[in-house]
Amino acid sequence: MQLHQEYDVAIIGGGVNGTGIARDCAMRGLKTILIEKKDLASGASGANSGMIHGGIRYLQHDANTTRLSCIDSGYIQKIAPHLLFRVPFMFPIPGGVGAGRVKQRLLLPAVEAYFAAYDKYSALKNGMPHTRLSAGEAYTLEPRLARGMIGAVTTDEWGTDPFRLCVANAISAREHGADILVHTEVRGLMTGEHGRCEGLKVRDALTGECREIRARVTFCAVGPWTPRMMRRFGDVEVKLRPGKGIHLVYDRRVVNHAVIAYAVDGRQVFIMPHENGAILGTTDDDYYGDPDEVKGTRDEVEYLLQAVEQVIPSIRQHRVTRVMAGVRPTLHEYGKNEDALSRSHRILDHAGDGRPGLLSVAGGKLASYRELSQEAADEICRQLGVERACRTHLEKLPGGDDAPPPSELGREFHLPANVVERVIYRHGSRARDVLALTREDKRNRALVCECEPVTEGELRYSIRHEFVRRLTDVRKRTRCAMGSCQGCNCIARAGQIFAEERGLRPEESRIEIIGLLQERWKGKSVALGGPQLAVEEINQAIHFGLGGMNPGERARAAGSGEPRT
Amino acid sequence: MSLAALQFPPRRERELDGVAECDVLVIGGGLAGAMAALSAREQSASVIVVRPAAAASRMWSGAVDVASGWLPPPCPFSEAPSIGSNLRHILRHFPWHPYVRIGEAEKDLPAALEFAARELPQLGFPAVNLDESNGIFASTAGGWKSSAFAARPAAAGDLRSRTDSKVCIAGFSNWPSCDAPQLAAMLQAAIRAANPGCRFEAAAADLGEWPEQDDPSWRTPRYLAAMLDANRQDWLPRWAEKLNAQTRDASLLLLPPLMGTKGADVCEELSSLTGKPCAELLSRPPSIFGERLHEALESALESRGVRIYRDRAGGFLKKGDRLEAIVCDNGEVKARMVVLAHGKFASGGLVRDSEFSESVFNLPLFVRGEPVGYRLPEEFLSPQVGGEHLIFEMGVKTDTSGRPLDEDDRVIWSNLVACGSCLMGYSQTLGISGAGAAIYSGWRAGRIAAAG
Ligand SMILES: Cc1cc2nc3c(=O)[nH]c(=O)nc-3n(C[C@H](O)[C@H](O)[C@H](O)COP(=O)(O)OP(=O)(O)OC[C@H]3O[C@@H](n4cnc5c(N)ncnc54)[C@H](O)[C@@H]3O)c2cc1C
Ligand SMILES: Cc1cc2nc3c(=O)[nH]c(=O)nc-3n(C[C@H](O)[C@H](O)[C@H](O)COP(=O)(O)OP(=O)(O)OC[C@H]3O[C@@H](n4cnc5c(N)ncnc54)[C@H](O)[C@@H]3O)c2cc1C
Repeated sequence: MQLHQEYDVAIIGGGVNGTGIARDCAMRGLKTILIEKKDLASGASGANSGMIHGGIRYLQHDANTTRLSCIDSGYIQKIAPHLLFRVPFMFPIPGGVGAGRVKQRLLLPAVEAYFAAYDKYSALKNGMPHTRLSAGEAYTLEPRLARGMIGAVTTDEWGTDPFRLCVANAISAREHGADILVHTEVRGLMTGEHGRCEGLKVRDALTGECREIRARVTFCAVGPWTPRMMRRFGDVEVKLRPGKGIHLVYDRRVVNHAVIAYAVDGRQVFIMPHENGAILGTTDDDYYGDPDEVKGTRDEVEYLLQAVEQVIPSIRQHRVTRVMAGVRPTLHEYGKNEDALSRSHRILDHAGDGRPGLLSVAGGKLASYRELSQEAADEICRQLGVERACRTHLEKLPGGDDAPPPSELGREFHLPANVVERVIYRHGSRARDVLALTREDKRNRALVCECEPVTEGELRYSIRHEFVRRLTDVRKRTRCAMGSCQGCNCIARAGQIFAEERGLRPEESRIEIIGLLQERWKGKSVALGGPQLAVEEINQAIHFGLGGMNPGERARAAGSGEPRT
Repeated sequence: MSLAALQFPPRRERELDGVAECDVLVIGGGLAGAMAALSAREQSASVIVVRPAAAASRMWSGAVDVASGWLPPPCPFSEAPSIGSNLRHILRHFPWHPYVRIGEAEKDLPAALEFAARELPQLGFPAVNLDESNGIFASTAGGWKSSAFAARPAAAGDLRSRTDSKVCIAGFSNWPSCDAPQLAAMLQAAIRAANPGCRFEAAAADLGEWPEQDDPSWRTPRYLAAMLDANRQDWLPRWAEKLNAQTRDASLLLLPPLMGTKGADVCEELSSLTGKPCAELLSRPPSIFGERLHEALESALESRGVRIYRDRAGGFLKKGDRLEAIVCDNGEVKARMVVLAHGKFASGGLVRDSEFSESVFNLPLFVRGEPVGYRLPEEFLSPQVGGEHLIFEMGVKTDTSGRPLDEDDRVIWSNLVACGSCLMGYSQTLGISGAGAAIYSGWRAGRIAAAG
């Protein structure tokens, strides 16, 4: 890629905040570059619950945060309507035993009053008002609910596909002139007079090429990596309370609502429908390890199952396809437990630390990324002396315009509506561009991934237009290999398509395939059991028994040439 | 589309109702279970098979791994070790393998394979000479695989003798499950890597679009194969013409694995039309070879007078150390001897819910001779996806006649014999001894059951 001599702003980190800031800066006419060391959304932005929520929890002590969250959540809904889906929540109220019964009866109106207060804010994001359900109604709506409930209260939130949200922001940034470098790691800062940060030293992780990128302002949006990076490159102290969180991912929707449960330590957890499956989360534990190495553990899995079992007794019979783990970049506070920590954010100017030209952000949520980006871009503009107003809440994200109905596109392209519907969900008003590839080549009508489903055409579109540099990157764009088979049926073919698009040699494409298999394995191996173990046995047969990999390579992949004797 | 073509394979099973009786009951109707049933039948026992559905065998790729051993890897092909020396490698280094634990594999394997070839004539299994090296077969997964032999019509695709010639992979331009240009590139690179300096070439040939209006990629190979059967007079000459125009200098044509439901006839006809050997590629699931195997097993069982019930064994009645009857969902089967052939994880023979267990008798499970007990899955997994996952070697431990043992090496049921992938000691996923071990152990189990 041809780079500029100097940029107005360089942004480090391709999470939701980095891509959001890049979009905002580019829209204000700044010469912008974004550098991400892996793929977009490979940090916290790719491991969260995908909730664009209004912050009902803050209502107790900080109603203003709730109001702002709701307003901003409403904006995200307006700029990317295709990526948002309604997530109705249900708080079941158990009957209790003995004296507890009376307490539980009193709890119901109290819970209801709380939600009634939230309705006022929730309307700002087009949320439905709460409802109170009798036990009978709750069981009708959620047949898997544990017996003995005396009723339930519902409220309404929004969910999103966080990967697509990052990609959409990056595409928009690019369309406004920004350069986006993925799989490029920032290895150091360039320092001028008086400690001024004048840009970055980066290394392309695929080619090994190193370069220097000059920028008048450098903004560090590396989420949980922030303390390490700032210490190492800037000699600046930024404190976070990084909080590890895991989710169990299910092969199907399991529940109709996000159902709330309480863990053994009183924390709230949930199981909720997400995309074509369901997710169960989440934990929140102080994490001092390397964010690159975060991985779920069986203890965490057990903790979550134990909690949800209280409200969905059949939960252990459902099929966990994988465990995803991430680290929250939570603001630092001492002496509070993890749940009580503030979820807000702070933009930091390191001029005061002797590093003028260097900014960073601490904290932040997916749901408030747009607002955070606006604050960040305001500060960047101020430092550059640029006066341009933010428009990210007014201008739609790519695909955010009205999309044609699935039935219409289905007829036009002779594809089933359920396939077209998913293309529209991921690409919104640009769905037609994706489907147009089916006219170029009939193979593009075939499904690579039957779980989601994903056509060959959509995969090719992503590879060509959505910053894909490695095979594993297609996963976040299309959800290929993310469904119930976890790549058993699609990875080999996806690898062939990638190889064809990129003109890779067979040896190179095998490395890509193994890379994607390995990436899936990391999440699958934590909770392998039940029917997923059957799928894995078949997966192993397909990818390691059938000649996709030859014996020598298999031995190398296994790390040894000798069987254990 | 004729209805008859869609009904491939025809249903031969019946429903269990009340109590059925026999000499030998086989639990599981995959390759191992069917071999056991047929070999017991050969010894004149009356036999019943119960099985709820087809399992791993129906995903079979088309090649039979007897001892494909990856040590030393069979490269270059001209110096590949013989099947026999691979077998001896297994016998020496894998004391948990059924070849070692049950009977005398070195002596009996040829007889077992011969038996399978005889009972499943549709598949055209060749006679096996353990002194020869393994065949080399290309698959739709890309690359090659070494196996003792393959079913017809993949058998003709053996690449051992073709490392200095040119082969063509044919595909339909709108059926990406067999993307000829990609597969050809992968195969050429893989064969050349394995045989440095060889002049192997793989090129792609385009058969055009699948001749039906329907998108072939939205159909199963089985459906497409049945369509082909119905239209072959029309289609084959057209394809032959295309192949003749594109593959003049090729010594072998490799075709997509959907060449008719029966297997050999279509390729033979194409072969006579083109004047070149024609073979199917081995297949990933959904696999036409798996369908043909299933059909061959069921028709063999039927013609030998074995009763097949569609049911699931779920429990048992006992007297002392003997199983009196096996309880299924819809009834009971009383049998003198019981053969357990219900497969590994893919078929539900072994399961893991809160712990690992064998699904009918709750037999103790073992990995490399060690009891599994309450151990967790991650203890048997490698951090590398392609690593050595001992979990897939888990299974039932037996004495030399195949009777399941407990942790103290005592026979648990005097009239129970286990065979196939539910056995401890090998992984059916690695392409080393999958179908071969199923045939061998099934054949043995049937004979022991008939005698016992
Ligand atoms: C379990 C869990 C559940 C959550 N649930 C929600 C929720 O429901 N709703 C919500 O609003 N928020 C939620 N969050 C919080 C939210 O996900 C994060 O706050 C948000 O994604 C942070 O985005 P970010 O862009 O700041 O950081 P990240 O997404 O972590 O991005 C940082 C990026 O920087 C890159 N990087 C690191 N080092 C370098 C380098 N040297 N060079 C270049 N790039 C580098 C990383 O690869 C990474 O992609 C949750 C978080 C977790 C962990
Ligand atoms: C994708 C794939 C590709 C393969 N490719 C090759 C190859 O190229 N070469 C090779 O040599 N091997 C290959 N194999 C391995 C080989 O096909 C199998 O190991 C072999 O077919 C297993 O046979 P089986 O009879 O032991 O088990 P299965 O075929 O799994 O049969 C188990 C049977 O038991 C039944 N059953 C389960 N539970 C019960 C119950 N409770 N009661 C009654 N019945 C029950 C099932 O319905 C089924 O009929 C492959 C396997 C797979 C999965």
